Amino acid sequence: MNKEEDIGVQMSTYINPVALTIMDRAFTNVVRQMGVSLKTTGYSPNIKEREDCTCALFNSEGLILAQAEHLPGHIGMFPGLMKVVLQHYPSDAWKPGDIVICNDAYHGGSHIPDVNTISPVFYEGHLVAFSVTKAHHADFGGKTPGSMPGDATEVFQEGLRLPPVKLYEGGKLNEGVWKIIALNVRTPEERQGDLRAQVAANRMGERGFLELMGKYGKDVVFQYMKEVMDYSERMTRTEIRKLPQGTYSAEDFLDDDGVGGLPIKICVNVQIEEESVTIDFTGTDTARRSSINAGIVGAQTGTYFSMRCILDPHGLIPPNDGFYRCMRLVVPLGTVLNPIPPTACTGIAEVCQRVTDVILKALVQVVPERVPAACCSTMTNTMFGGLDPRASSPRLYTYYETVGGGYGARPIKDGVDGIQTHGTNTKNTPIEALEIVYPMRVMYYGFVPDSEGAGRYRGGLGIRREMLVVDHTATFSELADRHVIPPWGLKGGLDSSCGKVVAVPADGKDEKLPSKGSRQLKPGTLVRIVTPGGGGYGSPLEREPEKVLRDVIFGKISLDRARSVYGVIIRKDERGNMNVDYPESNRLRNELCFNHKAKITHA
Amino acid sequence: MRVAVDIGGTFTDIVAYDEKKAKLYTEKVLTTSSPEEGVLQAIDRLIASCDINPASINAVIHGTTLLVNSVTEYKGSKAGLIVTYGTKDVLEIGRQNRPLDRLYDFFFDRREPLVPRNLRVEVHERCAPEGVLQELDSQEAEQVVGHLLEKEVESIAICLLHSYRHPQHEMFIKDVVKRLAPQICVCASAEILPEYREYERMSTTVINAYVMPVASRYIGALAAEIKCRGIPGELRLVTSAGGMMGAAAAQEKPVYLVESGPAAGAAGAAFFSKRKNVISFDMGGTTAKVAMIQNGEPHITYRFMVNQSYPVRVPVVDLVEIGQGGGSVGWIDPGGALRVGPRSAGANPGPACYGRGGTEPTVTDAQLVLGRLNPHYFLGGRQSLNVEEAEKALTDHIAAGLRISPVDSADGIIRVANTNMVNAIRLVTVERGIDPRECVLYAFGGMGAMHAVELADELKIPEINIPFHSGVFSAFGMLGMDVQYDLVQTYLSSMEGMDRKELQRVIDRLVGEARDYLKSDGFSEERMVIRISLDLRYVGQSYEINVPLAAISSDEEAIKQSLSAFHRLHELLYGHSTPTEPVEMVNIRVSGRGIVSKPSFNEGGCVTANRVSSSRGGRRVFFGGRFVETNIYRVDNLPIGVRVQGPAVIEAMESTVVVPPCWYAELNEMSQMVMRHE
Repeated sequence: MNKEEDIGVQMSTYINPVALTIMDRAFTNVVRQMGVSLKTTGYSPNIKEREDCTCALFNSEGLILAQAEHLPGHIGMFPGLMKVVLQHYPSDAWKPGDIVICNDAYHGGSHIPDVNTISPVFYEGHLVAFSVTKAHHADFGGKTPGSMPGDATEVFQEGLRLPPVKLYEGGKLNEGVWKIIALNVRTPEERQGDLRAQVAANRMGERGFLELMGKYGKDVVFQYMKEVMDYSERMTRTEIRKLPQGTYSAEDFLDDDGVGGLPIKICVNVQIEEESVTIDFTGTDTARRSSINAGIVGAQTGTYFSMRCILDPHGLIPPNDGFYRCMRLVVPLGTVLNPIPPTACTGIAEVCQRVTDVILKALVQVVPERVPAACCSTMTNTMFGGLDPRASSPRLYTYYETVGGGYGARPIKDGVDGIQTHGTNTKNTPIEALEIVYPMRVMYYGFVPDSEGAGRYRGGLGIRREMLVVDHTATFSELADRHVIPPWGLKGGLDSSCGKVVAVPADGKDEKLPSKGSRQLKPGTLVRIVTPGGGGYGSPLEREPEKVLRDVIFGKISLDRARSVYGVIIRKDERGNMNVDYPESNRLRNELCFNHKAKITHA
Repeated sequence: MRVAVDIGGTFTDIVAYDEKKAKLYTEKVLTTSSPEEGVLQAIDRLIASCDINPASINAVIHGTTLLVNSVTEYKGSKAGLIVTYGTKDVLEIGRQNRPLDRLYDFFFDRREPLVPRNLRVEVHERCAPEGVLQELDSQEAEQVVGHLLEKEVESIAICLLHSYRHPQHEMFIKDVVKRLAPQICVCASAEILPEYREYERMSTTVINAYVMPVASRYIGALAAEIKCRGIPGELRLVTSAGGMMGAAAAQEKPVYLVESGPAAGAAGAAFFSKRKNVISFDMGGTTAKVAMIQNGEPHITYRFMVNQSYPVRVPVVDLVEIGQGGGSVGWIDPGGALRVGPRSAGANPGPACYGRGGTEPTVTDAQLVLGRLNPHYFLGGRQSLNVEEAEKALTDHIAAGLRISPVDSADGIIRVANTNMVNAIRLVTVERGIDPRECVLYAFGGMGAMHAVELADELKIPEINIPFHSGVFSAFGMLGMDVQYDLVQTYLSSMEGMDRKELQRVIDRLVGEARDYLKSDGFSEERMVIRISLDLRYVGQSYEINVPLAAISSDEEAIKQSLSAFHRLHELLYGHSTPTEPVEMVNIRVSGRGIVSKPSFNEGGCVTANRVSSSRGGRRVFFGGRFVETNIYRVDNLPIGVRVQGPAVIEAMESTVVVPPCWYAELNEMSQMVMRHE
């Protein structure tokens, strides 16, 4: 049997539908294996517990071939990256064993803590592909632990910026680069562990790709590198053709810029043509002198994530260059979505969430049956850092967590309570793991009753998480949103509640903290973080009373709210069981409905 | 005499092994809707037809899917949960993430927690890793227990923060439950799984509580009925790890039994194939399951999730299951690629060739069109297959659109299905540092033997073993199982600065517990094997690797050996290791085994000799791109030890063995087909 026959592939212009599937699986398998290795051997909680990392293969021109993303938000982060890397290191500048490292938002990166490593794959002396990883490190220097200061005004404050530079040259560590990193980060041992895991994943990708070359032959691999991309393109265009053509607009806002500024407007025009989509952010506010901006990658990520959810919810289209080809982005320079250096960019995580919201808001007009009400749409980035008082010699720690919230209600069902939404999907740090490793204590971690956007289908509940600073002074840093402007409901569904952050000192009284900013916390201070719920769908007066009853029994919605918002009256019988009073509820619902209509007429 | 019962989809199989005479008996009855009745019917049938004296039966072994089904269908008990103040939603929030395969699906769901929010109650108490911060108030403990009792719960789970290290508050509450309501099932997480990470421990404890009343009733009733029949032997249950547990322990810790069913299959492969490295491959109508077995023991995972939703941190045979089976549907996606599954035509209407109204082409249809399945001898001739319907389905859904022949479409379906299964096998071999070229592929299930050689070719696996009568085969697997108790204790400590005395105390306690269990199952000291292992990781990592501890006493040498084993495994699994980095211990695991004498097949095996080897004539079968004249055999007529040269097809009642050119097959004395590449 010769090699070609192994997969039934003959080199020809005819695309074999069997080989297409087999080769796509083969490429995907390589990146998946890289991902498993990376998250299993990483050191940062972000990587190992929360899977904030992703791996990919590119062809030699820098077009993405396959990606294994654990975080959906990483979906659109790679195509732009390789373009920049290849500008710095064109094809002839690579040697076997090289690894290029970079993280700067103005050099294809997302934000400082997301560190990329890129290695070339050589076959018979020729550059044939790239193996790439991205992982969120717990700290990468800058003004606050965690390298995501919510109140930065310049990118320099956010952490150590790395343009594409060689961390390894010809397989040898570039000591100089490593020394610069080690000196500029708070926990160099942890960085070393994370980078080791990333480099190992890079090498695994190189080996995996070469195995494919050996197995199927170089001609077949080359042909199908191109074919799988064309295949994705065909799949994507097929889906786009099903959408009604036209231009659909929407706008949405971030609460503020963290340095006292007004809400930030994000505008979008989604233009659906026969076989492609143009997403134009013209009209978006100019960049702020704060961290609530995002490098160009932010708009890409938010867009590609939203479009993928709409076009391919079941993940049939391989996330390679063929998918990206079908979309054109217009992002005016100087806006919060495409700022000019040295504008700070840490806010990308929050900005991306809003980009997703605004695109979905536009798409409600196109495919209403596919779009949920707004999710909590904030990552609620929370960071603590300081000197661990339990260590015999002073030891710096940094702890980073994101807190989930309510999922938006869907056109046919409720939103999910307390969960990661849209671009983010990181796991929480177990309370016990956290308390073993950090001088912190989690005093509360649960749902926030009545925080849902009411509706025929209700939004999910937000989360309340309370953390106590034990026996030391800590630097606390928060980067969140939807503390002022709530997640929206759809089709008569109500907005959900907003989030908030409150500090409760051991001896003083509660103090509300801004959604974006840093602060020193005295020993014994408790930080209460409350995340928003998800928006509702349809009028709450149309919600099945049995579902309202169930929420009341579960303590997710109060009796008062059931009555005043849903118009459902629930009574306890002599045995303490709760029941819906149907006649009274019907009367009340009619009345509320009438008042509601009257209000609209007056307006 | 030991008896093992396996409940399959169609048949309930029973196997008995007489140790004294080294003789085996088998019987089968139709599976009934009530599992309990099925088991008893099978026992009655065996006793009657093989003339067995019930008094001579010293153990009845049984694997059950009852518990996992009760979770899947939400048919477990009404359970309550008591937790530390501020953590009652941990059970529902879980790890806060959406399922990885639904990242872009706005319409995903989270499975309902097994204890609803109104039955999850909090107590004011608090422990930290270093000790108790807030004492438990005994009055409040009674109040919360009373509150749950008022709600008429059937079982109560207790899971307090840091109880893996400080169990006293949980134990206090457990005593309160026992005092106020002795009839209620109660589970303390510190007893079920003293391991850190509250959500996983809580989930494990809740599953235990949720199925405990079901398990208790079922096992209790079965044990009583067995006694009634004059059988003195004890009832033993198959665990998810492929061992056995005594009935009493199984009623206390039923969470150890959730994956009992699939574990029995892998255990069958482990028992029959005496090779060092065995890949167990079970392909049926809707899914294919793959597991790795080394030195007779299936690989174990501690990260299993019931229904892919509820984590249970008990040892479970590490199976990879994918949606590729005989009923998996082949289809062309909008981009022009051929795909197979995960949708299945199921049993009804089933593949198009069943002629029950199915119109979509399945893997079974493809095999039929390629000549590998005999249309007149499916399930031993109990069902005939319609070739025209299969061809029509292939033409309508694949061939016409791509302008290729139905045969090429069929060939494509098989290739794609095989690719998916090769990837599953890679997951349990290559990705765990095991070279498939050093393995035997053990193929079973209705479709396993048909696909085995093509998978082996792709992965360069040199040898394939195939058992016949797969139900009996699982039951045989049970006869080969040892009684096994797995215990764990989280013990966080750096390997360098470790307090070895304290470590020894923990080990001694766990070993004592394991011995007590085994003693109560009637095992003497010399039939006990105690193994100790440590979960280790580099300081700062958070996934552990389990490595054996060489000796029961944790002397310096033993620790050193564990450490070097850890570095070696890390290198093997992830391609890098750093022996200079500090390592920490996370968990201590103790596995206590009661060794059971294994059946031997040297005498009185279940295969009859004196058979005639004759080909049943030929058929044209598709191999390597064309139809080839191929010899067809019936396994019943095949003598032991005769080499069948490929291309050939060997037909059996429940499976069909495909032997392509360049391979040969041989029936051995254990009623297994052995296939090798020339």
